[in-house]
Amino acid sequence: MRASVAYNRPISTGYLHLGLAAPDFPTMFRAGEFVMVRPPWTGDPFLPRAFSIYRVSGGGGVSPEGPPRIVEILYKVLGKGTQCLARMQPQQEIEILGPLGNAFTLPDQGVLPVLVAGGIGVPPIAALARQFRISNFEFRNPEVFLGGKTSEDILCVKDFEEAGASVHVTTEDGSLGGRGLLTDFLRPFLFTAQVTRLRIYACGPPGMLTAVARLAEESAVPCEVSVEANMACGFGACMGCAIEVKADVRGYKLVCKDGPVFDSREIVWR
Amino acid sequence: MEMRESRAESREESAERGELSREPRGARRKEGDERQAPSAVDLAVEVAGIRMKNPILTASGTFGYAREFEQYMNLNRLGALVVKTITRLPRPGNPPPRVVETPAGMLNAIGLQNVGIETFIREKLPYLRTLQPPLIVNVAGESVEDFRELTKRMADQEGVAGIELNISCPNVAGGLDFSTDPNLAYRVVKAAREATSLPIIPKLSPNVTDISAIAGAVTDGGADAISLINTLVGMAVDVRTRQPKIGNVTGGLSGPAIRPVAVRMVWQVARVVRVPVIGMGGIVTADDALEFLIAGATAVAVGTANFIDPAAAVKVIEGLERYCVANEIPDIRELIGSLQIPRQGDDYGWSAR
Repeated sequence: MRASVAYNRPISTGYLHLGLAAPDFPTMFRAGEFVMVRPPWTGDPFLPRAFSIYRVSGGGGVSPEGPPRIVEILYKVLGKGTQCLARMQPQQEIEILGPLGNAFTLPDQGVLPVLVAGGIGVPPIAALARQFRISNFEFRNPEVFLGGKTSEDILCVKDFEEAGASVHVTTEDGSLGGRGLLTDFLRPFLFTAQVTRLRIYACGPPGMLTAVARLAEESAVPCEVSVEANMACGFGACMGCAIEVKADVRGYKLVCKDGPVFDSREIVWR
Repeated sequence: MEMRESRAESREESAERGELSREPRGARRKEGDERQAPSAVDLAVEVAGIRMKNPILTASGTFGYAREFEQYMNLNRLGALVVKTITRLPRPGNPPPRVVETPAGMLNAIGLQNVGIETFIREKLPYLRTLQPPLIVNVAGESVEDFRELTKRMADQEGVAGIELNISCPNVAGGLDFSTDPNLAYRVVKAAREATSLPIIPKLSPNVTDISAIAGAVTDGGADAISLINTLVGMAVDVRTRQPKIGNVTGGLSGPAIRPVAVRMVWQVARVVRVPVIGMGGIVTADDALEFLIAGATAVAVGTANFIDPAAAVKVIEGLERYCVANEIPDIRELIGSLQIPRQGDDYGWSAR
């Protein structure tokens, strides 16, 4: 669907917050769902890019006086696609497709959600914290583990605090919070938590997800991960975004359609 | 030429009398078929006896089994539907990464992931039969006998208008051989030909020295039409890790990057074969589709563009219509093979003809 850039502003070194005015986008989305975003480029880059939805703001959208419907994503400038996005100016047209994919499942009452995000993996996790807060169920306030290389990779702390979460920040260089890997801090928490029922929700770079999935298995805590894959279409047509899964005769699932959220035990971690 | 003679009778009249021997039963089964808004131009074409209300098809492997697209477009607008390759047994596909973007295109090595013919017939075909456009199923075998069996089984199914033979997938062991060796290509097509009276449409590989030799071989084998081109074998390397960007090391290149190659091959083949050519390779816009028609394709397929815009095929159809209206072309068939090559001065020492 057609959308236009509402704003596209830096939030940290190399990270931007993109708001897309999209009147036809559904108000409600479930944390974990994503959109395919395609600026009006003509050949290079060629494919749309997948981004987890960070937030949808603006409410109704039907009334012309009301605030416009804005689909928000956060992104890190890494390659051709994100470099192209970073140059987008307000009012410019852009195509989006979504919401796509599956979503995180909400925990049962009494379960303590443990939210884990590394670097630019944070948007769907922040969306999940917000979803906990606005849902009708009573959840325990989540414990949040945010990790990055430096303080510049730590995003959305305020979102989590507003959602009533306790936030544990770790950076590899110690420039913010504890020094080390996120899992160095997650491990003792999982093994000493006073709550018997935990559930991990994680998104981040592959190495971090692999480590979190192993920790989850060791500590016997259920864990859902949102994963990434090279993707052409985003809606199951190209079959390009395969991920190897266990206990499945086909051997592969599609990140765009069967995911992007998977039970960590389902995935073959490399 | 034959096409033009058959125009003496209005295609609608004959359709109503049910005289279209090769019209897929599926295309007629829906009650109260929507009539498209009357248009000033006639976009209809006929390929190997399959009548299409416009020359736009979907390229196999880029359109799933159509259902993936139903929420984004009116599937009944399409000239014909070509669905993802089906093999005898289910195939899990290749290890990731399976796709990577390249300049103006992408490399893929999906590895013909599919549910297998029996599951296709049980689970995918019933939905496809509810759609109006003629259905062309695409099959790939590992042997000549495989192709014969697959063709026979598919042709027995209600709602199948034609069989496209994928003799050119670059991403499975042996898959390419059928389309790079004229003798093998001939034998595969002949086997399929013997298995059915439905139109047989081999899809050729561009990864050959002389495409017209292969095209000649498949028409000798009994092909009713030719699809070209499949993807070009390509490769991309991650210079940071020094690893190939595709799990399968090499992959098939598609998208606008290959369009000039595809247009050239359509032009070369359409001049030398007597059967219609279905052109494809990097079509994103109506202008792209027109290039192929003018170069000699009777119909064209939208492929990789379906990934970047799930409504791409419909947009191409609408663009074709606008082009015909704007250029006062009452019948799109006037464009087929209408390429004008300016005479070159003798001094050049070569001829564009």
